[in-house]
Amino acid sequence: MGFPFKPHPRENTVLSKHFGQAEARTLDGWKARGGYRALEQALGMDPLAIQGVVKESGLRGRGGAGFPTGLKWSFMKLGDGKPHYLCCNADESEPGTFKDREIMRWTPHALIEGCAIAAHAIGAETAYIYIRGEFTEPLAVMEQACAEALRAGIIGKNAMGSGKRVDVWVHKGAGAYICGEETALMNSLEGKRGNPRIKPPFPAAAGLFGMPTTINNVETLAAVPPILVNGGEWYKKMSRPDNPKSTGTKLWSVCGNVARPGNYEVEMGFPFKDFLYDLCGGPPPGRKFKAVIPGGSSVPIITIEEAEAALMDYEGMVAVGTMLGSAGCIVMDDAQSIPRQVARLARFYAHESCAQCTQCREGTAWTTKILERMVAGDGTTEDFDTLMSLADDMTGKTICVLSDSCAAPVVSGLQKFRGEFEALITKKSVHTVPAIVA
Amino acid sequence: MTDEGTGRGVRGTGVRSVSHGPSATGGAISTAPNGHSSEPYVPVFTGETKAKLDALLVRYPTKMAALLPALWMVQEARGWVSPEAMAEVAQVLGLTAAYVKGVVTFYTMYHQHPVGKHFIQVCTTTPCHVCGAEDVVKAFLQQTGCGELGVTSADGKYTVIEVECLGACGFATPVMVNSDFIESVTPANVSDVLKKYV
Repeated sequence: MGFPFKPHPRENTVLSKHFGQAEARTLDGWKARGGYRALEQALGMDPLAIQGVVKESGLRGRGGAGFPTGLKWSFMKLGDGKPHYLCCNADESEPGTFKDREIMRWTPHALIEGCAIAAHAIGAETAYIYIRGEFTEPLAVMEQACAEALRAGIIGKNAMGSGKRVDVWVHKGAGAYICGEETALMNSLEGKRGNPRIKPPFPAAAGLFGMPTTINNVETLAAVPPILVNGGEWYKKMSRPDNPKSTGTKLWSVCGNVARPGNYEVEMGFPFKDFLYDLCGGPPPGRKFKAVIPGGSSVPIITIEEAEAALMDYEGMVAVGTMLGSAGCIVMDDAQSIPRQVARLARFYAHESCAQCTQCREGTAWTTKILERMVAGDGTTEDFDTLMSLADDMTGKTICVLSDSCAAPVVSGLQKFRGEFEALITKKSVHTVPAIVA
Repeated sequence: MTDEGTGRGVRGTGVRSVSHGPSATGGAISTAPNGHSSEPYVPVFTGETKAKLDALLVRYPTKMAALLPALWMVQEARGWVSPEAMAEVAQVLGLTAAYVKGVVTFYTMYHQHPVGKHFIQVCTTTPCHVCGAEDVVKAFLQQTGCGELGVTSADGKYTVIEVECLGACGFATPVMVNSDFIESVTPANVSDVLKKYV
């Protein structure tokens, strides 16, 4: 939905139904909307049965990787005598993505409920919601909702009178994109520098405080209560008939050069062309779309022609050479210089590199310097090979995927918009903005 | 431009507040050139603040996990995290001062130097960049009198920096002033925004 909150008729608002309603933020308001029924039901269920429902639903991680949620939960060895932890990744910092922010701002109890259900399903008594420090409003709303739920006995030492302990705590980050990487987040929560850890061990074996840990994205956890109430079959049906691998609804954040930016919730498999022109209102007046980065800045950039042919689910995005990622859709119109925007993206990754791995620390920095030199009109034809060689060194060779994420838009930008880069070198020309078409 | 003390990132990428801001220009905040206060240090973790920290400690199995929250408490109380404050936090949580400094320098939101009364962060990452965030930065630099990124205005009131993705890309350009999060800022409404922060 755009702004203000009015859903488009073609949206299916499972998660965003109550966005914009102040009462939904309060415990009473949330209960009046059917809140905490799922948790009550879950607390009476066997953890394996909850995992079963989520597995059946086909829910996949909404943070970017798309890993099946039920399967992830099943990696936690129940009854091993160790404390288990649930981390909720609310460090939403992927450029283009702003969906978790809206979930926390408008439906904080949906997240608390999802956290409590997931904690029970993985045998954890403690859940931490790690929210980036810049999200001052979501932090305040979540803190207040947690306190309210604790006072009402919904969470705490005897959650909803079930005799089970479920603590949900909010933890405030302090400014670092890399803390959205799961193991970096755990280090940060432990009071360390947010450097990603080498895997294995995977979090389910040794995660937060060295104990078995599951980490899920905000949107993933918020989807759990409706799945439990309506059943896995209901969720599974929201997909295209020929692709059962992507199920449910997905919140898409849309930004950049588009008539109606905002968060839109559609079923998996929605046609991207209809989405861009019908729901989001097309390009700004007189402009044409040129390129789209559909899944947050870390996925390959695609041309508008490729985007128009795509279907909006995990497989549909792979089919056009990109990824669904976090579904943070950055749209660029014909007034934008792709080299300039790719250079800006590289700068972001150079700033956010934790500097642990040489390929990333040096690679992101040199990529930025070369691209900015090209944009300034001082590029050479050798720069293409240097950038591609750097990108190769930065892909699949580091502890985490930050450097891969920097390479993705650079490589795809060079491949798909090579003419624009070449023009910068051969004509020493700066980007010219085409006239607005009336 | 400085990379001093950020401990990560790369020279030439990203500008944070710099130490020569207010002191060099005779601003409101008095500090020695090395960033150490000349006044005797007054501990942060006494009375209510200490009780608040103690209440937090029960949430975690280790004391170290309360480090980020403790540093936030310091910054709320003092406006920045001084070397003396790092030493105090270290002592309170049973860590070394060097360890605490290592953590402080990793995160961009902890100020290692005093900043202006109003700390302005303008998002300029790609989604905002395509919507004209550069002009919003220029407007702030001009209208606050800061002139340059990371430098505090002569009256000690403002420091303006660019910040990487604030996570509100659909509402370009988001700007943070202190802890206020303001959406949809354009060069035209910068003066309105600034009216609230005098």
